[in-house]
Amino acid sequence: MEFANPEVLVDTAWLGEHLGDLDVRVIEVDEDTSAYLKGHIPGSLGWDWFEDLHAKPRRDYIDQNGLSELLARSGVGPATTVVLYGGNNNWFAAYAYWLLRYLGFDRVKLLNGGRKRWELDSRELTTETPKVEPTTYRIPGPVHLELRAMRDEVLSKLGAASFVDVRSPEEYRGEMMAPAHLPQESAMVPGHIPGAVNVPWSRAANEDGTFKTLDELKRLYDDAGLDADAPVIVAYCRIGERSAHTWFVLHELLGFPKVSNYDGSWTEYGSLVGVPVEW
Amino acid sequence: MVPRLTGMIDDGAGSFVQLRDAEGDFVGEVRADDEGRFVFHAIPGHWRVVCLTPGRNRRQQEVDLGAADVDVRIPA
Repeated sequence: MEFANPEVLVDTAWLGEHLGDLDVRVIEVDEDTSAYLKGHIPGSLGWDWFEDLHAKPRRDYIDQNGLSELLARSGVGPATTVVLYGGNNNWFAAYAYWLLRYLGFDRVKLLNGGRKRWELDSRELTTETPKVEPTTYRIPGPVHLELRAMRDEVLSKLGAASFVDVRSPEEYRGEMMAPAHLPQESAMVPGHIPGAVNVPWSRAANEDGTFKTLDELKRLYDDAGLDADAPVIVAYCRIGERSAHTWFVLHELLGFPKVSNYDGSWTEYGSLVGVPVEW
Repeated sequence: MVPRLTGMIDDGAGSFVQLRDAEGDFVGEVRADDEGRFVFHAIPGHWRVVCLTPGRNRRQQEVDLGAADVDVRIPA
């Protein structure tokens, strides 16, 4: 059986055969923003998830105009397909994928397994940055507000929507405040949103970063009691990047119709005054 | 402050290093540096370090972490 939207994934072999295609723009988005400079897939560009995708000094993303300008600077035109990849099971690449879809850009795919699968396949990396001819591209479609959950919506849906906390069990139980490779600073209190089930994002990925099979993914979320027909399934983590990976699995691979990513996530919810929290 | 779980992977420059908990759940992943070293910040408990090095076999090591920092060596 195939995923609900199999076209959203490409594998390393496909990408290896399409690196020179003029209508394919490969872009790396990594948690480690220096990774691109050390070596990247030939012909790819690097986006900095914070510098390029955030609207500083606010905690928010660039808007649709800002993304249109970024895509235009990256040589993306009306016929271009963007292929995103990154490290750590594609978690920041999935974050960028979700943001592009939220802001109305739909011709985007993820490299299954990301940088890790590419490197484990011993495929070529380069430090050469490609020359890109800017375009005048503008995203034609609307912003998909339904793909993003904001604080007030989250609070209004407590007890009425399905929440999935995709952090590690240790973070869900309030024992850790951040992933184990990051300094432990985060929200004001530990814990999770009442009623949220814990399905760590990484359970959707194999050790090499590729996604598990359709049957494995269905079983994973069935066992957690998530119902595809639930009114809304809101995924959250610490800052919304791991939950973007789970959003990708639920919405794009499994075809759940109503899934949003709460990118404020625990760093916002866990710092709100007076809201209910569970350990 | 949580303790640090650091390590050195023989011939492990650039390895993908995963930290998994006692149930096997992935908790984080880092790249080893040019000398094969890595750092995690983890709470006390039983952990598994999994190393994926391009061109080499998969390696893993179980680690018990207490209140103090622990440094491990992953042999070739």
